[in-house]
Parts: sequence; C-alpha cells; structure tokens
Amino acid sequence: MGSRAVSVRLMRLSLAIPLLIVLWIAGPARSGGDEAHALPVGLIVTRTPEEADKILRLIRSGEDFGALARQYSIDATAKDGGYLGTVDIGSLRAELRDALRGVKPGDVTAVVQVPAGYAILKLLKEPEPADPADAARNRVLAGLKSARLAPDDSGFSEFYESIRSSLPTGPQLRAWQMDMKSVCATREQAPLNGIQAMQKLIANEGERMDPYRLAHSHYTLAELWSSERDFDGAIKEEEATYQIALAASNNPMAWHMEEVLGISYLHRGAFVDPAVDPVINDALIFPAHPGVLNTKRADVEKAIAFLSRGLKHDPSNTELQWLLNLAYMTAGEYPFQVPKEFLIPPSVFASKEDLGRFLDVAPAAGLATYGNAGGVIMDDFDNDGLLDIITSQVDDCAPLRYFHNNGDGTFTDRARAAGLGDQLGGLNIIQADYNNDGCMDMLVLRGGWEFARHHSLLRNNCDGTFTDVTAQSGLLDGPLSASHSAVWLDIDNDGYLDLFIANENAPSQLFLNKGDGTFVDISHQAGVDRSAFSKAAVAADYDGDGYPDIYVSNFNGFNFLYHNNGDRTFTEVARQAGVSMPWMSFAAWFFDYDNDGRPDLFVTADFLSVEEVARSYMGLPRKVETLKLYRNLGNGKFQDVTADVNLDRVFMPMGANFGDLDNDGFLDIYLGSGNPSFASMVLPNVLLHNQAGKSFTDITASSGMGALAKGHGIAFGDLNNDGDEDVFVVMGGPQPGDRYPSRLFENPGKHGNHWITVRLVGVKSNRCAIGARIAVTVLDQGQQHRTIWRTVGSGGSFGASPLQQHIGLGKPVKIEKLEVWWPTSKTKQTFDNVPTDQFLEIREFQKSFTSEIRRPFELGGPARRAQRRNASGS
Amino acid sequence: MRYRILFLPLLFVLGLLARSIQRYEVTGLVLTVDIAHRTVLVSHDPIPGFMDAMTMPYRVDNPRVLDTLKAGEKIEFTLVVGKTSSYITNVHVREYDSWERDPAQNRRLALLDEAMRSKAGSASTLSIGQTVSDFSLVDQTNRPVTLSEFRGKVVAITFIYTRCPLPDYCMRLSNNFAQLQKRFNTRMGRDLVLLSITFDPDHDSPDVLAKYGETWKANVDGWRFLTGTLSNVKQVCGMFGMNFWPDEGLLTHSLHTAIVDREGKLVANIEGNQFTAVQLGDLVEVTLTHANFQAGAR
Repeated sequence: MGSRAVSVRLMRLSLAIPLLIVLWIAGPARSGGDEAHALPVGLIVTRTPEEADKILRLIRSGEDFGALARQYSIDATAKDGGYLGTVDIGSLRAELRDALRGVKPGDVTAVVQVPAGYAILKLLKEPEPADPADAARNRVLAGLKSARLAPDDSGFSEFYESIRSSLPTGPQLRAWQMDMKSVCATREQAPLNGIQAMQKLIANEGERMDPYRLAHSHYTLAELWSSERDFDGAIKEEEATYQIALAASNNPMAWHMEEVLGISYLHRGAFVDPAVDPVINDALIFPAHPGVLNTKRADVEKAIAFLSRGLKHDPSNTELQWLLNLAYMTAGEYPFQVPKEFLIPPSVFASKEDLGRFLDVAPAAGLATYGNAGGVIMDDFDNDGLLDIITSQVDDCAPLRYFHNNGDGTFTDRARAAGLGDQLGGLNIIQADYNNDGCMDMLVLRGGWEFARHHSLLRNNCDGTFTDVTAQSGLLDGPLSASHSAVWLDIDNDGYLDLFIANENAPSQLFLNKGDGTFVDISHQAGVDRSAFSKAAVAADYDGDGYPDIYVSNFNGFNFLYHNNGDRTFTEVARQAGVSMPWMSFAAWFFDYDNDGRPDLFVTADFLSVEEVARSYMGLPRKVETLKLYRNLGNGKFQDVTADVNLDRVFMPMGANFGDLDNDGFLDIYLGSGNPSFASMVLPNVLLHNQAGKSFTDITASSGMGALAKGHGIAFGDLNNDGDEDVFVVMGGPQPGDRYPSRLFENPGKHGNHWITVRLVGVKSNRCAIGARIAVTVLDQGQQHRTIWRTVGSGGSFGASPLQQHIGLGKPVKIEKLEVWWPTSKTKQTFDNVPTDQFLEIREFQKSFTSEIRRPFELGGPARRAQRRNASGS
Repeated sequence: MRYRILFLPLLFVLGLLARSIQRYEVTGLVLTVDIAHRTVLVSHDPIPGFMDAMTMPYRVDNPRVLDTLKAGEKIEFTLVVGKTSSYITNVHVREYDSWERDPAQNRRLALLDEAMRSKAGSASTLSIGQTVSDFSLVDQTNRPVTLSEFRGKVVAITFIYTRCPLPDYCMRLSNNFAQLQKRFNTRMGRDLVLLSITFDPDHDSPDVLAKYGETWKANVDGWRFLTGTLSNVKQVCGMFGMNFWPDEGLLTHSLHTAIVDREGKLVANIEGNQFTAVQLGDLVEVTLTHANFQAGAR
C-alpha cells in the first residue's frame, strides 16, 4: 500500500515536470485522487483544425499515434510520443472529459478545441513504462542508504588527482591530450611528485599537525605508495596511520585502518607476486587455488589477525567475512581453521554443473603479459584463417600488443613491425573493416574513467602494417571527450560502417562514414547527442525494421535506447521500451539468449560494494541493483526477465562478454569483476552457463575460470580451430600497483556438441558484414527442429570477439538450412546441405558457400608438450 | 514555534536534585560562544538517563577552551553536575561519528592538492565574522540571484550536486534544508533564505535543479537552488572551503553548510554531516533571534 502511494505520487510528480501545456488541461475543479479514473492517456496538439483532422485520419488509417505525436504535436509531450502519463480523468477540463466519454482503451477522441490549439487524446491500453522507471530509480537510491562501499586502499584516487593537478591548462591542454608521449610522461612523473610533496608536508609540518590531520597525511602517502606498486612503503604508512588513530583514541579511523591493513597484508601476501608458472597459470583461481605461487605466510597471518579484529567490532560485515575466508584459503586452512561463526561454507561457491575445467594456458601460448586494465580484440587481422589477439592498456605508457597467432599454439607480438609500437594507452579497442578493403581495422578508445585524450583510428594496410589515419578521418573534429565504449554500425545501410562513441559527461558522438575514408559528425542532427557518464554503446535492430538501433548504458543515470528512424535520425525510447535501468550501469550487449530470433538486451549494474556481492553469494537480502536481462517481446518493448532466469544477483562486473562455451546453441556469459579498490581483488570473474534460454547457472568454481584480481576486456573465440570457443581476458586495474598477467582459458571441449563457424563477406553490405543475421535450423535427435540465431558483431561493450560467428549446434542429426539476411541489399540467402564442424565463408549474393576443415592444434603447444615429456620422464 | 533554549538556573536546580556529583558524556553543536559569561550555547544530542536533546548554555571549567570553539562545530564534552554548580570539561571538537559517514577521501585529496601546490591552507576561505563577498548565480527558475539582495535576512547556504547517489552526503544536506523549510515555514523568503548551490553546474542546469527542488517540495521563494559557470561556482565554493573532484563518474567532495547573518557576515561554516536538522535549525534560530535583538537594541 505504502509503495503504491509513493509510486502514485511519483507519477504525478513526473507528470508535472515536462508538461508545458498541461496547465490548460486541468480544469479549475479538481477532484481527489480517485484511482478508478486514473487512466493512461496520449496527446497530440496542433495549431490548426485542418492539421488535427489530417492527423486523425492518419490515426484511423492505422498510423502509429506515437510517431505522429513526435512528428506533429506542438505539446511538450511530443518527444515522448505524446505520452501524457496516467491521468486522473476527473481532473481534466470538461471538454476533454466529455470527449473521452465512451472512448475505449486503444481508441482516440475526436478533435477538441482547447486554448492552446486542437487536441486529440488517445486512451492507451496500458501505461507506458515511464513511471516505473522513476519508481525503480528511487528504489535504487533508497537501497544505497545502507550499502557499504569498498574501502580506499589502492591509491587510484590519489594517483589520478596527482596527474590531474599536473595537467596543462588552456590551449596547451589539447596539445597535451593529442600527444601520448606527453601524457605518458605526466602519468609517470606526477604520482612521484605527489609522494615527494606528501613526504615534505609530513616532514615540515607533521609535528605541528593535530593527530587527525597527521593520520590523514600518512594515509594519503600510503595510498600513493600503493598506487606506485611500493606495497612495503604503503603498509608502513598505513601502520603509522593506524598507530596515530589508536593513540588518539579515534576508533572509527583505527577500525577502518584495521580493514585496510587486513586487505593490504592479504594483497602483498597472496596477490602480487608476479611469478607465474611458465605453462599453465593456475594461481589466483577461485576457489581452487586462490593465492599466488609463493604465498607469503607471515603476511597472510597478519591479514587474518586484522580482519578478525575488524569482524569483532562489526560481526555482520560480510566484506570482512569474505576477505577472511579468502585469507584462510590462501593459507591452505580453509574451511577447517575458519572460526565457525565467520565461515562461508564451500557450498556457497560450489557449481551445480560441470562443463570441464578450463586451463589458463596464456603462459605457454606467450600471452601472459603483465599489464593494467585494458581492451582486447580477437580477430583475424592478416586473413590467414587464424584469430590473432590485440590488447590495449589504460596505462598511457603501454603500447598496443599485437599477438600474431602462429598456428602452433603460440603467439608472437608483432606490434612494432606492424607500426603499432607507438600507439600508447587505450582502455578499450574495437575492430571493423570501415573502408571495405577486406582487412580488419581498429579504433583505440582513450580516457575512460579518467580525462579526455584522443582516440586513434588505425587502418589495416593489408600488408601486416597499420597506419594511424585519425587526423585525416575527421574523428578529431570538435572537442575531445573521455570514452571507453563505441560501436560500429551502418546506420543508413549504405554499405559503409558508421561509428557511435559513448562519452563520459559529454554528448555522445555519431560519425557518418562518407565512404571515402572520412567521417562527419552528425550527432546533433541525428538526435543522439545526449550527455551522460556513459559506459557502453551497443547496437542491434531490436524491432526488426531493417535499421540498427543503439543502446547506451549510463552510470548514475537512465540508459538510452536510440531507435533508428531510418532517415539518419534517432528517437530515444528507453522508457517506452522498458530498458532504462540499471541506474548504475556498466557493460551491456544485445544477444538472443533464448533463440527466438529477437535480440534481447543484457546490462550489468556496477555499485562498488564488495559487501553487497558477498551478501548476494551468501543469499542475504541485497540492497543494490542486480544484473539485468531484458527479453525482447517483438513489439518494440522488452520484459525484465532477470529473476526468471536466475540473474538477479549482485556482482561487480567491468569487462564482460558472451559466447557459447559448450556448443549447445545457447549463449553463456563471462563477467570480469572488480573496481579500483584492492578489496575487490577477492571477487572472482564469473561464468554463467545458459540453460537452454531458461536460466543461467553459475559454473565459476567447476570451470576454473574464477580468476581473482580485476577482470577487464573479454573476448570469446576459437583460437586453435578445434571447434570450441576459448576465452581471453585482460586482467589488472587502472594504476601501476594493480598489474596482472592476461589469461587465456582453453576450452576443454568436453560437451560432445557440434558447431559451425561462419564468416560473412559483404559485397553491397559492409564487407565485414556487421549487422547481418544468420539463422541455422537443425533437426535434432528427437526429430525436433530448432533455430539458432546470430547477428554479426563483436559482442559485448568491453572486449571484442571475432566477427566470424562460431555457432554451437547441440547434437543435431543434420543442419536443415542456413539462412543469411544482408542489411544493405535486403537480400536473403538460404543454403541446404550445410556440413557441421567446419568453417564456412559466405559471400553476399553468391549461391554457394566455401567450406574448409581447418587443422586444430593445442594452445601453448610446444611448452605443454615439453611439460608432458618432463612429467613422464621423471 | 518551539524554542528550546533553557536557562542557566535550571542546571543549578538539576544539580540540587542530584545526590552527588554526576558526570555525563555529551555531544552537540556549538551555537554561540559567550566569552564574557564563560559559557557556550550547545544544541546537544540526548543525554541518556539525564535529559532529551535540547539547547542549553554550559559553563566551561577552563575558559581558554572558548577561544578555539566556533559556532557550527560538533563538540564532545563531559558534563559535571554537582550539588551547587555544574560545568563542562574535556571539551573537544568531534571529527566524525563513523568512518562511512566521513568524506575521508576528500580530506586526503585536499591534503595532496595542498602539498603538491605547496600552499599553506586555502587563503581565500572566509573566517567566522568576515563579510561574505557578493556573488551572482542563477536559480532554478532562471532568476539571477546575488547574495547582497538578501541583506537583512539570514541566509543558510549548502552545496550539493543532483546526481549524488550517497544518502549521507548531498541528500542529507538537502534533507536538512527541507526540515528548515518546514520549521521556519512562516519566515521563509521574508526572514530566512536557503541557498543550495550545485558544484556540478555542467549537468545541473536550472531545469535539472527545478526538478530536484520539486522532489524536496522546495518553495521557490525561500529555497533557491543555484547554478552558474564552473568558475563562478568554484569561486563561491572557495569562500567556504568547499572542495570537489571528479571521481569515476561521481564527484568526491567535502560537505559544508554555512549561516550568514542579516549583515552578510559569516556566522558558522559547518563541515561534514555530523549534526541533526534540529541542531542546524537551532543555529538558524539563534542567528535570527540574535540579529533581531541587535537590531532592536540599536
């Protein structure tokens, strides 16, 4: 009852704000809130009766009321498709009340003269889901009240502030943003300046400072040491802070420092040793092997002591509880030595299903390079039939790495030879053949979570080298904005891929590809230049009208769904479609999780509370948002099915992506976890197995893919041509103190299911076929037909999978048919007699396809063979 | 209207009732400091087993402590109630109640900025009693607002940004003002003006502030939400020691609530969120009354 009263009040509130002309609607005699007469109403207002009559005729001939409202209405509700909200009919002016009399839901009134012009009202069948979005947001904000944030212990804020306070100003700023060598120099020098300055401050003024200020000074210095990877220095200063707080009887600060020291000792003892096994990296895998190779016992014991002390003050603190259990795990004493009252039993992590163990073979493959948070593209950059890997790092001093797939299980970094050695930084990277020359190009996105730096468009010269064409491409016209998400899509189906970039606290940008290698910014004309702290940009034709639409996820704001009007303009319809939440969104993507032929929408929520994640694992009531899965209903609307498919859980995902790991035809989800705090290093990456589109099962523990530390860019792809997708994930946080080796999880392929991999080549449509749709209809052993749907794209918003589509088929008797829809030519190809377990190449307009059985090989081949020889020899 | 100041003799009565010397640990907000009478007027939190939250003047045992106390400071002290007299001792400023509610990151960033720019303190921050320099911003209805137009009224100022998701930060400060608006309902706009200044002006346009104001049921004549250019806003923030930094999509910031008297002088600049709306109201009330009294005496 109470929540209903609140939502009614919110509805009224949300109504009162956007309506400029609504004042004339409400008559002088307002009746009270009689719920029975509150009905959802749409409105169109015109200046002349002729216009109104024309619109009424169009409505009666079947034209869409919302579209007409957007096009013609002079009321403020035009932008919302005329949606007025749920209106108390009794409060309307008499003439409107009279006009609505006898009108049935779904019908419209005659033209009514009102002071502002001529109105047509429509009685809607159901309220637009606009009001629930407001209510949902308010529930989220209310829930945050008691949610506990992860503590500051990694120094990211101080690291970042030291850089920010060293930035050039005025016109010099842009020159700095354009020169990555200068940016790198600042990133290296500024934190050191910060350390010196803090040391000087403490030395000169420390004796005169009150204990509170002195403690904070030491804490600041600790954070800076931590950010610069001097954990001994950090712990020394944290201990100093703790002692000052204890001496001053400052309990809140002392208790906080106990938590920080617990985390710092656990971090130094069991997380930061860079020694990695040269073949299989089995360290930092939750829950099987949570620590590093050489866990430092003394540090872990100190961690246990501090964390236990913290739990004594605050026994219900599940963040400390999770950390304590992790500490015992790294000490090899879990579960038996964990005090009973704080034990999180193994059943909390246990997987209910086992698809076999994925091994991290990155060291053997030559891919276990240390680094910070960054992006990854897995695709074939030299057209040799093998997927290569390109990685980036947020670190402005770190160049791109271009790992060429040697075809024997190893990779060789060709960045320098390819002309990529000077491409520094970039939190994310995405690929596309924007100039239709048959070679995959890429875009480096810079500035995410920090401050604007320029992006880079790198053209593949089809000879193993790349050329930076950013300057001549037109992408630098206008102000520079920070971003780490963008999407390639052909908004007008002209066969040239356009580029949409989602920015942070700046308008999104849409660059139209002119077809001559240059782009023009049409963001404003296209109506997509809304500003938010955007975290994801993804595209799909969700309503099947032949034009790709764009979804933008925002952190601390409603998300946007830009419906493509087919004329190079877009209309924002997230509320009407029911997809404006989570309020704190991060990674997102369209995928058809239930194979009904319609792209569904997955969005992650990112509230930075280790406590809430632990509570979610432990089945305790949650206070913050969960993941979101929206099922496409096919009528332009989505249904929130999160709870129905068991995704109503709290994680802290950053990079994320999807793929079909067991070739059952249903797409699984892998989430890279964490945030800048070291407290979040104890959260594993998460693997969620799709159960035939009905639900998702957490198989993190049994899969061995529960990598601890921070997970960023993720890509799924069959790197060794053995018919299943492997998973590459860039590990590490944003500052030098948070570097980790990347991981490559090799698919054990224990499912016995079949597959095909399809590479589409556009002729009239864009050459790399982004936006083309594939449907594979199979006859399974139960003699049932089923269809598996894919749309060509690089997948999720943080990490780019290959554009060639790997399609799991389950255990079919045969493929009945394979269909391809091409976006530009609007043609469809249908193929029979398609073999399974092969690579197909399909060109637009061609009647036949080419198929190829590629030679499989073992990832990390030579090193793993040597290891086996040694093992059998000893 | 409720006015909760009790007078000194009552304490003696309480003392007489007591059989022996009693000691109580007390926290409260300093409203005024009266050096001549060796007293400090405190709106204090409930004292379990002794009295409810209320406003009381207390005599201090050591008058030197009064030199360092300022209106708007949250203090803790020991109240000693004897047979014939009562006083307070062990007075010191309370930093915060709990870690989560303290904007600690902001303190560290402020220290770092100070150290890196090697400046000793922020010279532009106003001291208590100084006249607040005039400033011009725009309110939620697009009206220009200058501080000097409120001369003759008491002005309460706080700083917010509408996207602030943390309930103990901006939401709490806005809620305080909503409580002030309720308590001083009849005096809003005439005698008392509330100014909520955004430090996220790029996002918080007048329209956005109007919407935000409606959620607090703000009366647009008495409670003005102000925005302006970033440099204008920074300038105003600087006078009150208000800091803010971009932080992963949010803003890390300090918390300040200031009271300006009828003559435009700074009465108090309360840092943090460790006070109740009632205590803030008491401070406003004292300022309103005090200024009235002075005006009447002239």
